[in-house]
Amino acid sequence: MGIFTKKNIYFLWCLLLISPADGHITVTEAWVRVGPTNAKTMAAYATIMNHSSVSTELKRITAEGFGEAQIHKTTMKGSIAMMEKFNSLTLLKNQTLELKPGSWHIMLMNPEVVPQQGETVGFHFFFKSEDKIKEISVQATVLKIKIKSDELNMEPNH
Amino acid sequence: MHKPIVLETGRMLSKPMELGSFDLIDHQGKPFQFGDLENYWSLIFFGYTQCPDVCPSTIFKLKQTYDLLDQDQEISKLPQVIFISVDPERDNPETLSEYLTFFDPGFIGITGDQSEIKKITSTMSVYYEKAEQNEDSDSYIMNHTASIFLTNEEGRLVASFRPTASPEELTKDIKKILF
Repeated sequence: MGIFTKKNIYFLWCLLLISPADGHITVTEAWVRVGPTNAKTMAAYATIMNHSSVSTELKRITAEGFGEAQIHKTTMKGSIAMMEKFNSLTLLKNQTLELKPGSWHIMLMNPEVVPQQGETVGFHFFFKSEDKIKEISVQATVLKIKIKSDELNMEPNH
Repeated sequence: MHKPIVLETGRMLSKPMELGSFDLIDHQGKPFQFGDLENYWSLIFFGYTQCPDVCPSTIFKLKQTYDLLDQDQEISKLPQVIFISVDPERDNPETLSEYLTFFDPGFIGITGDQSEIKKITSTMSVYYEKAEQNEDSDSYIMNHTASIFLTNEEGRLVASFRPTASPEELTKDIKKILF
């Protein structure tokens, strides 16, 4: 049997089970807030879950029909709303991050045609985990409102 | 003795504050001055049309608040809802008109010379500044005060509300002041 002893096979099987590069990342509940027909920017939101046992980095996002998609975070400094752009976003192992109004969001710029309520926008999220790139594609529905109450949940700027 | 009004979502000024004079333009290109605040209660929000997150969220909230107030038959005259741009470089009357009509055709958009906008923002302690100018483009965002303000029928500032308040909470507090 050589190297393929029961012990070795069992060991290899265990390695596969605990492999850190299982790449299980999900992007769910994606939506775009509907805007005026002359909107130059819009915002998209979603829930990103890193189910894997290693951290992952969201490196890039593209949105079909938009010139650019950037990661931004709104924070409140007293009553002042501030937005900060992030070139990437790290999710630790088993971390869930909710992109929502008044907090993390995707800023969509330069729409070719402003999508209307009920239409969908295709997104492509590019994650990097241990030198591997994983692309996740989702369809986000254009909605007027997703969260019915306490819509604007702003986090204080520390 | 008049009992002071306690607001859940903001603060009431101890004394209504005069806003001084200003020469701005509304979304129809007509002059908008202090006199246009008189005879109406007004809900005022400062923002810009290229704001992706806070401004559309808040204007939606103002629309919901307006609709809730409209349901109250005791309110004979609804407040004006006024959106004052802190980005007059990009927000001209036509842009404001198309933008605000989406939320409610009755909402008023205000823009004008930077110096005139500065007058009213200084009086109301409203902060705004350009931020994040991309190196390879002319795009920028604005950081700005996101409070909602209320002026009375004499055009004087009486209260400010925090932007995190829900439409229901805002409505409740506004009614405390109106009645």
